[in-house]
Amino acid sequence: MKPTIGLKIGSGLGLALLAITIIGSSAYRNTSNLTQAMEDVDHSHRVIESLERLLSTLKDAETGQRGFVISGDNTYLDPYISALSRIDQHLQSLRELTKDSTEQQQKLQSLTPLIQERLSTLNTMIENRREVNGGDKLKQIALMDKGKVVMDAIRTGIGELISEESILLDKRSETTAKNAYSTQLTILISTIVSFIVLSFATAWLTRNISNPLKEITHVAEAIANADLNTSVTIYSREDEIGKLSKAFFRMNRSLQRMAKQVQQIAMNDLTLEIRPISESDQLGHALHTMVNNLRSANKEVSEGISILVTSAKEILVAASQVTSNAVETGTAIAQTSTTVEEVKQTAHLSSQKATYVSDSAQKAALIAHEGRASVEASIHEMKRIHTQMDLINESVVKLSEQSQTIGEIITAVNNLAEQSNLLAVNAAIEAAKAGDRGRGFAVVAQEIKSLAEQSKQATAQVRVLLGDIQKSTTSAVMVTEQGSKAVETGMHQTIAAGESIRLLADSITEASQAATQIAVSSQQQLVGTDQVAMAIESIKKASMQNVSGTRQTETAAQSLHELGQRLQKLVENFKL
Amino acid sequence: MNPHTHFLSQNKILQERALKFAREAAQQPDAKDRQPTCIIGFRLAYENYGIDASFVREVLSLRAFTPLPGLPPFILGITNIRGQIRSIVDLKILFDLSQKGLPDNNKLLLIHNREMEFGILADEITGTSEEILEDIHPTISTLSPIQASYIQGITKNRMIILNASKLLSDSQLLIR
Repeated sequence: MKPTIGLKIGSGLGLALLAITIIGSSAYRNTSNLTQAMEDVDHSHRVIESLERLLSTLKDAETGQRGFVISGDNTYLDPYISALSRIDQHLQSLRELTKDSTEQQQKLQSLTPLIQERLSTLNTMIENRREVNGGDKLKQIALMDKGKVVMDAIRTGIGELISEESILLDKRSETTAKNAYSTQLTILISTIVSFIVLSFATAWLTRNISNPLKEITHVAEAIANADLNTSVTIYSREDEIGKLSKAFFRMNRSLQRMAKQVQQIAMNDLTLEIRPISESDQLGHALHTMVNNLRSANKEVSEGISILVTSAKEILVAASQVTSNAVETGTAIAQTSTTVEEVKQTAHLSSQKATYVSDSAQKAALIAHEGRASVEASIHEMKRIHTQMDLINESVVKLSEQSQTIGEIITAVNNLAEQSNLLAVNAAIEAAKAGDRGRGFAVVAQEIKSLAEQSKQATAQVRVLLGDIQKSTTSAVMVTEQGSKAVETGMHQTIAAGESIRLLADSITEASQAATQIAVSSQQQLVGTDQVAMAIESIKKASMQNVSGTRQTETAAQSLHELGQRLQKLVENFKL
Repeated sequence: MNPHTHFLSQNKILQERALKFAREAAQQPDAKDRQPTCIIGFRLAYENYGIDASFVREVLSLRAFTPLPGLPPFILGITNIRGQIRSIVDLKILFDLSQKGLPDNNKLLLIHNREMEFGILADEITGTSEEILEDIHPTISTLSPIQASYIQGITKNRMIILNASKLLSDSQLLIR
């Protein structure tokens, strides 16, 4: 078991506790002895007192009895009567008090019949006094003698008892005094001993614990004031003080190491590798993370700065480009201004032209009106032609019908010729039947037949002619029909033309109005162009300001570029 | 039939035909008192036909006719001729002639003998002519047997002369 601080303090305190316990217990024991002795003394006093009281009570009874016997007055009996009752009480209390001593009890027991006897003697004397007036004097005297003997015996018994008790009292008083003395002695001695022992223990503890702690506290205060150069004494002890001093030594060393690392970081050296001592080394972890973060941040910053430098360079180039562009724009705007002036001239010209067009359109509207009138006249004419065509058509149709009738007639004639032919053949047959006599008739029949043939041929010719006529009439009908249709179409077209011309007239009127509007608009345009010219002038001014502005931008870009380069140099100071 | 025998049969036919024509030419001189016969000419399917006038009762236009059921196809129907009912024979069907074209076909030759009388359809009646029956050529061999049996011969004017008595007495044309 190692002697730890706790154990040391505990043992010191335990020593003190032991001393207190010893002193307390001895004091307690002595005190209780003393108390017991005191009680015994008190007891003896009470016994003596009771005995004396008993004797005095007996004397009271005797006194009362004597008074009565002498005087015969009943009032003298009062102390006697009260004494009778008190005697029993005293006896009783005496018996109680002397329970601890059998010897005293026996003596008290032997005393009791004597007392009874004395009392009965007294009573007899009182009775005797009452019986006869003044009583029997002799008897009284005899009784008085007897009573004196008993009384003396009682006095002796009580005197013995009192003296015994007094001896006991003396003995007890002596014991009490002895006890009190020993108690005082014990307390004194033990107090002195414990004072000495505890003083030694305290001194030892102070030397062993407090001084090293004070020293360590001094070191801790120095560390608290961030002074790491204080030397730490190492106690080669196994207890807490030794451990504490070692821990402080290690703490100081690690703090010094960390301070050195931080100093290195402060000197822009980020090459060092910080290893946390343990998992819970917050500072170590934090430093580790810080160095890492610084490293990455430095890298990022470096990259950012290189980007910044590049960008600044680009911005510089762009700004110079913008400047040249602005100059070009200025030139272009100057050209535009000239162009706008030309446009203004053109607008003036176009306004004049628009007025001219408006006049022409009004003339055209008049001409269109005339055209409309002539178209209406031609429509009227076309209607007349249509009526004429209808008449022609009717005539031709009639002609066609008539030629149809002629055809029917021809058919009838043809039928007649046919039947004549058949008749001729039949006549020839009949002639043949008649033989030689019918020969002449046969010739006639032949003639009839040839006539029929001829008429047939004639009708055929007529039919051919009629066919031609019919064809002609049919074509005439068709032509007339077509003519009629053509006239109708013509009429429709004329009407359509009229409509077109009307629309044209309307359009021309609208065009005329539009031309007037155009004229007005072009006037407004002229005004607008003037405004545009003014606006371009202000743009020109603005572009000049723009040029100066871009020049400033260029300068700013130049300074930005320089700043980037400076930053780059700054970052290069860091060792990674 | 092998080609040789075919050739022989052709030769035989040609020899017979030559012999026949030679005999007819030889017969011509001794026909002095021959009587000309009156022939009624008509056209049928663009061909000229003739028939002996003695068998013809009359010619007329066919105005209307009534077709009858249950008759052979060459009987066109019946018609009323002045109160008498006569049947109409269509020779174009009987002779198996082509039906193409639209001929007039509305003339009727009423032929008769003592037992029979019926009409023959004709496209057109061409007229009468005098023919010497002995001068006509007999039937030509290219005709079908039916045609051959009703045809008497053909004239120099290429008119086919019908055998009227044969037509009238033929049991084929008899309707019972």
